[in-house]
Amino acid sequence: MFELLSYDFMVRALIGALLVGVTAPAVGVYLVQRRMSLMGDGMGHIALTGVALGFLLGTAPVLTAIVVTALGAIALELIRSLGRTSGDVALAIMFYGGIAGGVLLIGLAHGSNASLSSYLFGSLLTTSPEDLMLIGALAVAVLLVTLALRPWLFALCHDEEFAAVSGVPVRVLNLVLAVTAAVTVTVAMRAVGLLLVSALMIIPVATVQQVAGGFLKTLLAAIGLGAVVALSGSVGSFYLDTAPGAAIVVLAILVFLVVSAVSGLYRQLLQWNQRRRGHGRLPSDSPA
Amino acid sequence: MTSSQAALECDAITVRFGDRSVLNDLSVTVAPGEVVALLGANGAGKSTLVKAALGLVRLHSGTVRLLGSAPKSSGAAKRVGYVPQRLGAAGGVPATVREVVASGRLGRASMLRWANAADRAAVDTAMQTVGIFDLAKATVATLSGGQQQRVLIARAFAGKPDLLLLDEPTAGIDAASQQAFHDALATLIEREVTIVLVAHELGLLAPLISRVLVLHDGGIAFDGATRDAATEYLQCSDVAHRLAHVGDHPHPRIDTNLWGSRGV
Repeated sequence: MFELLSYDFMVRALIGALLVGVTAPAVGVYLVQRRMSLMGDGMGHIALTGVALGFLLGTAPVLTAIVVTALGAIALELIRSLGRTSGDVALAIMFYGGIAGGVLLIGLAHGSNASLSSYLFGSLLTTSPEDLMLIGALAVAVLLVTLALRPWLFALCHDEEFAAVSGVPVRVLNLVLAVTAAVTVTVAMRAVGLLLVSALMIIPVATVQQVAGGFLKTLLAAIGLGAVVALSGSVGSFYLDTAPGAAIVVLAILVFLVVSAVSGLYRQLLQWNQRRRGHGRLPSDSPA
Repeated sequence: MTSSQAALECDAITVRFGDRSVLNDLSVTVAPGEVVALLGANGAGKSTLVKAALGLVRLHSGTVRLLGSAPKSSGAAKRVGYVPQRLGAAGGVPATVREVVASGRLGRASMLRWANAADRAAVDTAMQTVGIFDLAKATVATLSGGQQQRVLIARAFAGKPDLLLLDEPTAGIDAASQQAFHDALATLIEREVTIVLVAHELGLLAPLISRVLVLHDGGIAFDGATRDAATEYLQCSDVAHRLAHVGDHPHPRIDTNLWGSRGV
């Protein structure tokens, strides 16, 4: 186990994985709360255009990815809130536009689509000290926003109309959340890749919400689970000699399946026990 | 609030959805302490009027003032409560009753000021008022429809509003929740909170209502005392039917300690 810590690249990879594992669910919980789980995926596609733009301009792809993804997120939010286009249609346009823009720009940069593969599927083991500094700074910013603004973001994602009546600056916070999600996507793309980035934002939340009672508990437990699967997946990929991003996401899905099965079984047993004791719920108490 | 200041003032408001006018040049003033029911057939504009008053739909023309402030301003946010229809009681992540009710305090707090002891006490009181204190740690999604509605009402109560607008608060909820809502409303009336509620049927609430506005085709077809509405507005048989039993209730029942030991 300690053998892998003797490699500098592996230490950087593990720190990067930890930062991504903590950050992604912290944003994902708000996306799940407002039933926009695929938003991270859409941003991942847009980030591809940003990465390709970096190749075209000869600048760091991470920086151009942040700018382009943030602009895309703001555009999506404005279309959703001001336009007549529904959220899922706007999301679909993000998917198509992001992929098409990325392939087009990489062609103009006379690069091959292979240049994009490390961003599409992640390249955690090649994380440089400079990459790690940038990922760390962005992760701190994302955690600050998602934790410090929790009551207001919760109100916004739970019931936007009520939040507006309560004086919560919904338009500003919507943009803040969209940009934060965009930054998270670019932070996570080195670890799991743009195609899988949404998985780390959503799966830990989907897993934890089956057993955690409450939003705050779900948020904290999802962050913890995200860190565990990111670290475990990275270590596992080292020994199995596989891509870390895929290992992390497969592990997260396995945990989701196990928790789903166990919690489902527990609920069945609980209901069976209640029926056996004659304490079944009255018809009027059935969930809405 | 000065004594002459209206709790709600809509001045010639028109709301259009596309080419269709939902509210047409509608003017209404609600005085402090009034308990107003908005009645009317489906599509008459009742919910739209509430949303227009709160600034949730764009006005084509006209102005709205809530307790002298513009909708969604910080002045209004501190003093106006809102209970939406049940939609949205539970989000994608399982929030507890306490977490949802606590969000009702945000209008009282400045940005980045986290909940203090006064906020927590107000949340406790609000949950006790509608009889859901024992459910504080339960997740909202697991509650019955009536209990979820009470959570939304408690959320509005937690902000200690001077003006409360409710959009069909008793639609589709069980008898126990309707009674709990009636009792909670009576408590607010005793505190002289101004109340405007949309309803299809007054039912148990009839004795608490001091004024009825009947909306028809985006305008006000009747504006008067509850008792008169049943006898004078007979053109709209649907509304007259729903008001027919109003005279059976001479006075609202006021009781400030109704939920101490009551289950839900």
